[in-house]
Amino acid sequence: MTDATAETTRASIWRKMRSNTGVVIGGTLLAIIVAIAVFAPLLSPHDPIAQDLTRRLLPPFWHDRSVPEHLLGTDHLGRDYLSRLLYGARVSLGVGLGVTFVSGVIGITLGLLAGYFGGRIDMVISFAITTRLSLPIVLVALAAVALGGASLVTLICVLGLLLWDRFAVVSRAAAQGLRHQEFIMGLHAIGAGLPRILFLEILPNMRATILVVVSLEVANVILLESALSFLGLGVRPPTPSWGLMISEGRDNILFDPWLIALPGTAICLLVLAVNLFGDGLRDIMGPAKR
Amino acid sequence: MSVPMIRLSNARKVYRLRRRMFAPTEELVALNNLSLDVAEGQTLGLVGESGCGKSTAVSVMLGLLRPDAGDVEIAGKKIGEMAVADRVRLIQPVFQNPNASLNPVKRIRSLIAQPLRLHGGEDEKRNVSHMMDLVGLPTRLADAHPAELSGGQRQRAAIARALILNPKVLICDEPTSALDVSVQAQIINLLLSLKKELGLTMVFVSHDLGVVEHLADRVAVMYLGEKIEEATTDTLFEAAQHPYTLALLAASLLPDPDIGLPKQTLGNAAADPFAVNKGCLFAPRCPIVQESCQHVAQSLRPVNDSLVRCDKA
Amino acid sequence: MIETVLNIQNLRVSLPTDRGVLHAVRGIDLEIKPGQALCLVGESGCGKSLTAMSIMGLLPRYAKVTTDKFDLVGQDLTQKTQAKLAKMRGRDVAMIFQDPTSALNPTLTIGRQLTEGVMRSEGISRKEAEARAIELLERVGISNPAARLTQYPHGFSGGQRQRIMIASALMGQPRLLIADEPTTALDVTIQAQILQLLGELQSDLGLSMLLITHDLGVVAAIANEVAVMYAGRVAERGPAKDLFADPLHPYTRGLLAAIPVPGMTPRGSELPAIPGRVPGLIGPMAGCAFRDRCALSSPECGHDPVPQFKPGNNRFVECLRAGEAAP
Repeated sequence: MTDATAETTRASIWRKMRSNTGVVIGGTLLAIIVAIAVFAPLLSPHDPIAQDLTRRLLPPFWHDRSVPEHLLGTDHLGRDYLSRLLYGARVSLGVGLGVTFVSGVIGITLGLLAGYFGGRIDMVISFAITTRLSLPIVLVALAAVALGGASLVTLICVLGLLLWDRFAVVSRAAAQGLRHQEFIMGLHAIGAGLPRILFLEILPNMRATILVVVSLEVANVILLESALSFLGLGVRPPTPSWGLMISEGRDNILFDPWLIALPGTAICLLVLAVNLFGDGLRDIMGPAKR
Repeated sequence: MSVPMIRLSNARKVYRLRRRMFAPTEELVALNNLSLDVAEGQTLGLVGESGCGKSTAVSVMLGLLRPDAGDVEIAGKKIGEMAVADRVRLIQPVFQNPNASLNPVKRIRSLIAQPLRLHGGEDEKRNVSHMMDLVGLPTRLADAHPAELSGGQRQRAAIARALILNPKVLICDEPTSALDVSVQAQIINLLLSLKKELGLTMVFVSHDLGVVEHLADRVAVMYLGEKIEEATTDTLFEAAQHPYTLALLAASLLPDPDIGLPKQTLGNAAADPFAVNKGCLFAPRCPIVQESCQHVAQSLRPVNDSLVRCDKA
Repeated sequence: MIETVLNIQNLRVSLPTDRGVLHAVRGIDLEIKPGQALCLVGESGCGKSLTAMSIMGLLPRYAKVTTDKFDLVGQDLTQKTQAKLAKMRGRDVAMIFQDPTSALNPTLTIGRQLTEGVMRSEGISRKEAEARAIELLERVGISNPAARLTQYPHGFSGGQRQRIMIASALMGQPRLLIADEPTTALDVTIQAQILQLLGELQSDLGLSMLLITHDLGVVAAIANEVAVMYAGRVAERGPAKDLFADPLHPYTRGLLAAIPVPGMTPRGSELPAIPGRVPGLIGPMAGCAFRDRCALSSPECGHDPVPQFKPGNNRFVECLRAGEAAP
């Protein structure tokens, strides 16, 4: 009996999720891509970085010249394209989640502090947000990666330090709205400390909003990673990344267009899935949860 | 007389605010030398309209706001020198809006138990169900979220949370004004029985004179940060002295159609907390105002059994 | 001379929700005679505000509103087109709300907010409209009204804003003023002044009023007629004096008993509270909605229809055991 009420709210969210087309389609796609990333070593027919210069630029299965061993063909160094695509999901998702985590921690902390305290602290943090918004992300990332050297860790750190603004704006607004609520004063009256109030009391109230921002940011980061890898400043070869694959296929675009079309489609699908899922979640949790 | 359970002596709090962007800062005196004494087991009603400093007084009494001058003592100890852990075991608040005073994402059980979790206490489960019994909340609601409770049930949960550490003093800030009439009566009854059972000392802040009359032993009336009258409840309701108290009494509406429209003798001017006035702060609205009121500051003086801040009373 | 300013029979309002259809107003009749003030009183969720909104046509599109009869100032509104309806409502009915701060646009001067509507609806010049605004502001107790027209809302106190709202509602010379909790957000001394003003307008201009409130004190001060609402139905209706002197419905009796009255209720005594809470209004409901909280309830109270009595003098009560004292 006591758990029934809690169960009903959980059950109703679950029911709403299942009846929301965006969540169902986006969620399914996302689950598939995540599974691919996790099980890439089991699913891949070949080593993604093993070269075989004798079998360069083989076309995919729908082509007459295709080879059954390489279902989606090979690239200019004779590496199996299917395996590279499957492994590429790891990079895209890993960078997407990693950067969002770093930027989320920075942005939420700053935003909560600014919104909760207001006054001078808010002025300083708001100035930092404005400064951040005035920086061209790609150019700064390019410069930073060029200085620090291209690697997965550098990429995640640089993008994480650049993309916290949306988290900060959103959590600042939420904290501002909540700081004058009576329950905050009640928490002071029972002697609760600041970290507890910010992270255990205010933060859980913004779950829905944060979730939506996370989905937007993940999609954004995936695109950025691809762009930076395409420019040669993201993931270092021979690590398979979808952006890098497009960049490497660039020279052969006229004769072997699948080299670009396949990773392009993969990026497209992943971003679409994340966006559909996030939008659906916002519809479900947004107004009703408030 | 023994030491009062809670004593506010000459508390003063001034805010510096800008009324508009770029306007010069102005001083707003939220509390002006407010002194209050409440003996153990007694209930003090604190009455006034918006902007009279009630909320500031509540924050100061709870030790959440340091007054610019003056002291708050609870059971003889200064609240500013007290450790937080001691303070929370002495004084706890109940707020006006039970929708806003409970974090909506937490469950009732953890909301009620939170003070225990923070400050230690054995047997959380037994304690929580004991408190829920005490305030008349069915224990099956322990795992519910606040949104699943009615307004009255939420206010009961808020009271249970305030009482779980066994405080001596309960500060009730308009605890019934957000509730429906039928539920308001339930909460008033609960507060009355808790006061009797636990020997609680209470400060009951309200703008509803009917409710204050029912609950309080003494009543203090505030206007723009000052106490303008204080008396026992009987005296205040039978023989109020200050013109503002009289106006409040005349304006409070009773469920009796024979009384008709309230007689209102105050001017149309609203209380302006920024308006600097050398004399009596109530002078701009006072029906018996005289020339001298404009520049002679009034001080509290005993009239019959009341303390009154008006020399014309 | 028309007989009623407002005559609604069998008003029903239902709203679709996630968990089913919410029957917020479940068949109520309202009648207001010229110059009368009818108070709709009830607790939160009883449907009193939705009733007012449906008269004004302010409900969201997904709300389903039906009536058997809807006469406004002698004209049958059920036969009119949407556009005509909107026009009639704008001319004959005006509404003021609880929060005068959010009801005024902070970026426009008082003068513009008062005059714009009538200039459009009546086609009068700005000068005429301003003359009327000045007259009305003076009437509602705003000093120096001509100069005030150029000011913005933030320069006024809460009580003054509510006065301005009332003046603004009167610009179109309505026959009926609907006031939804007009004094709830105000201090008691200001509340008294606004109620006084409404009482004067009623007697001086012959204005009819539909006042929505949860406060029985406000009802007692200003109402000629009272309708007590509970769970979307009118539980009891009658002239204010009779209803307060001799409430017939157990709910009305409970409400009146639950209010502590200085000098009458013994201090510190236990108040006769109404136990339990308001029932949910989703899905069908049979019998009396109050029976779970009622000390007099018997198994027959769960049967439809709940008996209605008209014990004379314009009174009405819907209760099987109306007028019986609690055990």
